[in-house]
Amino acid sequence: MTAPTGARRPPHLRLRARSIAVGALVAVAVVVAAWVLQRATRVLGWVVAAAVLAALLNPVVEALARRMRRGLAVAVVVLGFVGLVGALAWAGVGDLRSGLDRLRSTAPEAAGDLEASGSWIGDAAEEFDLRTRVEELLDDLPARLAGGSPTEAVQAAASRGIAVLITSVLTIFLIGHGPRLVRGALRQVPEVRRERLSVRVHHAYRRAWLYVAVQLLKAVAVAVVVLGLARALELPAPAVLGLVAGATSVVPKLGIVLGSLPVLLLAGVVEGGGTLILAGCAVIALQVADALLVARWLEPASVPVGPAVSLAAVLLGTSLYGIGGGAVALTLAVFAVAVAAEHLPAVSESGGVADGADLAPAPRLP
Amino acid sequence: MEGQPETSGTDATDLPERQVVRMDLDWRTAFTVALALVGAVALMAAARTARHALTWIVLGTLFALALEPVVARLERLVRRRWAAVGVVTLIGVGLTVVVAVLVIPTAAREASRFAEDAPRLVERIEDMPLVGERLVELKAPERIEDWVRELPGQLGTDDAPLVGVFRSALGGLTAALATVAMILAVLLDGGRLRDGLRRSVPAPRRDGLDRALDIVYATVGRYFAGSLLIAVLAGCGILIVGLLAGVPLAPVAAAWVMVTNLIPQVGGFLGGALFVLLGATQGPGTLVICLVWFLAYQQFENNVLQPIIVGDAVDLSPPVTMIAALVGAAAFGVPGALVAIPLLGTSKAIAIELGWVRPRGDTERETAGHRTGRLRRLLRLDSRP
Repeated sequence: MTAPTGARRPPHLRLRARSIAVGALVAVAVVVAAWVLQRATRVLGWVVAAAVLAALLNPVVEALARRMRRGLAVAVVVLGFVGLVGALAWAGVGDLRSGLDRLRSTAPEAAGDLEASGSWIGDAAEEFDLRTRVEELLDDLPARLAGGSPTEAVQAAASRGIAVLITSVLTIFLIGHGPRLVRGALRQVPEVRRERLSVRVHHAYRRAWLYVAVQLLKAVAVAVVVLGLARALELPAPAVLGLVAGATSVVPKLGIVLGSLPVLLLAGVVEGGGTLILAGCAVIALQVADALLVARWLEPASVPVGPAVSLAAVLLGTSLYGIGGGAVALTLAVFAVAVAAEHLPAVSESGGVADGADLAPAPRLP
Repeated sequence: MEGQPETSGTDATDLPERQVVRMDLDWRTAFTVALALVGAVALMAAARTARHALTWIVLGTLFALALEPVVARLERLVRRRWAAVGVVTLIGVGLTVVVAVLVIPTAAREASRFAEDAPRLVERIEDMPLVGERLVELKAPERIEDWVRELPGQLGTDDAPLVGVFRSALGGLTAALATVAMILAVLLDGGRLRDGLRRSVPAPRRDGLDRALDIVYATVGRYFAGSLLIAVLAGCGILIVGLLAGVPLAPVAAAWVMVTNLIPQVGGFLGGALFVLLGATQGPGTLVICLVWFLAYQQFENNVLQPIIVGDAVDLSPPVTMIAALVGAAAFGVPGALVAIPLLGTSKAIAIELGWVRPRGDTERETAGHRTGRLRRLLRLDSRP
C-alpha cells in the first residue's frame, strides 16, 4: 500500500549508547535504593522522628539559650523531654500493673458469677469453662504485655532503649545543625524564588509550631482531667485511661469523645448506667469546651487543621510506626497544611477564590 | 533531554522519509526519574504496610459520602453542621444498639440450640430431597458431627485461642471505631476539604474540579448508599422470614446475606444458598418457604429496588461490574468488592466527561454535542448555564 503524497510518518526515537547506559544505571540505582530503604525503615523512622522533635524543641532551646549556654540549653530541653516521656510511660505501666492486679482478683469472680447466672449466656460461659480460661489468660498477660517470654521481653526493652538513645542523640545533632541544613536546602532553590519561599516556609513553621504546642498542652490538660474523672469514678488503670484520652484529643472536634470511650465503657460496666451518664456529660462538656475555647482561638491564629486530616495522619502514622509514628505523622500533616495555607490562595465562604492569602500574621515563637 | 533530528534514507517504496530523533538522556533527568521511582516504591511499601488504615480511611470517606445528603438536609433544619452530624451519629448509635439487643441474644440462642440439635439435623441430611443421598456418600453428616463436637475443644484446649478471640474482637472493634471516626471527621470537615482541593488547582481549572467532585459525589454516594440500603433490606427480610419459619442460625444467615449482597451478580445467590440450605435442615416445608422467599425477593430486588434506589448511578455493564467486584474482593476482601465498582464507575464517568471515553450507545448524541448522556442527566449538568 502506498502512502498518500505528503503524508508524514512519525519520527523514530533513537537513544545513543550513552543514554542506554544511563538508563541502566538508573534502574540499578532504583533497585539498590529500594533495597536500602527497605532494610533501613526503622532507622529512617528514627531520623524523621528526631527531625520533628528537633523542630518542635528548637524554639524552646532558643528561648533558654538567652539565659544560659546553648549547649546546656539543648541538653536541658532534650533530657527534660526524654525524662517526661519516660515518666509518663512509667506511670502508665505502673498503673496498668495495678489495674491488672485488680482485674486478676475481680475478673474470675465475675466469670464465675456469669457461669452461675443460669441465663443462655451463662450456659455458654459454663460450657466454655470461662472462669478457668480467664484465670489462665490473666496469669499469662503480664508476660504477653512485656513482649512474650522473658528473653523476648528483654530483647524488646533493649530495642526500645536503643531507639530512644539514637533518636535523642539525633535530635541533639539536628537542633544544632538543623537551621544550617534548612538554609542549605533553600540555597538549592533559584534565587528569584528563594526569598519568597524562605518567608513562607518560616511562617508555616511558626504556625505549625504554635498549633502543635497548643495541642500538646491541651493533651496534657485532657489527660489530667480524664485521669481525675477515672479516679473519682474508681475505674481501673486511671492513668492509662487519661493517657489514651489525652493522646486522641489532638484530633479536633471529636478526639476527646473518641479517646474517652474506654472510660465510658468501664463506667457503664463497672459502676452502672447513672455513672455512665455522668461520665458522658463530663466528656461532652470537655469536647465542647475544646471546640469553643481552644479550636475557635487556635485555628485562626495558627493553621486550620480539621479532624479528617488529623485522623487520617494519625491512623496512617500509627499503622507504619506505632503510637510515636502517629504523633510524627500528625506533626508533619500540620506542617504540610500550614505550607499549603501559606502558599495557596484563600477561598471565601461562598466558594469564590480570592488571590492572596487572607491568613492572620504568623505567630511569634518563644 | 537533548534532541537532534536527522533524516534516514528513503524506503524502497515511495513512502516519505522517516525522521530519526537521536536523544541523549542527561544526568539531571536520570536522577529525577530515579528519585521519582524510588519515591513510588517507598509509597507503595508504605501503603502495603498501612493497608488496614487506608481501608478504614477509604471506607469512612465512602460512608460519609453516602450519609452526606441526610446530613445536608438536617443541616438546613438545625443550621449547624456539627449539630446535624451529632443527630445522625445519635440515630446511628441508637439503631446499632437496637439491632444488637434484638439480634445478639437471638443469635447466641440459635447457636447454642444449633449445637444441641446438631445430631438431629445431621440425621435429617439423609432425608433431604435431591442431594441427601449424595451428601451421605460424601460423608457430610460425619464431618459436620465431628466439626460440632470439636468446636468447644478448639476454643478451650488452652488459652491461646481465647487470646485469639480477644485479639480478633479487639481488632474488629478498632476497625469499626476507626471507620466510624473517619466518617464523622469527613462529615464535619467536608466543606473545608473541598475548599482545600479547589485552592490547590489553578483558577481556570476549578470549574472542572467542581464537575469532577460532583460526579464523584453523585456516583459514589448514590451507589454506595443504595447498595448498603439494599443489603440491609435483604438481610432484614432473611432475618424475619428465617425467625418466623424456624430456620436455624437465622441471624447468621441474615448477616451473611447482608455481606454477600454487596457483591454484584453472584452475591444474591451466595447469600441465599446458605439460607435455603439451613432451611432444608428443618424439612421440606421450611425448604420451600425459604426457596420461595429467596426467589421472590431476588426478583423484587432486581426489578424494583435496584432501579429505584441505585438506578444508573454507575454506568457499567454487568460483566464489568462483576469483574471489578471480584478483583476488588481478591485484593482487599469485602471492602474491596464494595469500593471497586463505584470507583471504576467514577473513573469512567470522569473519563467520559473529559472526552477520553465514549459512553455506551451514545454515538449519535455525541455527534450532536451531548457526550455524557446518563451522567449528565443524573447530575443535571445539561441544565446548567
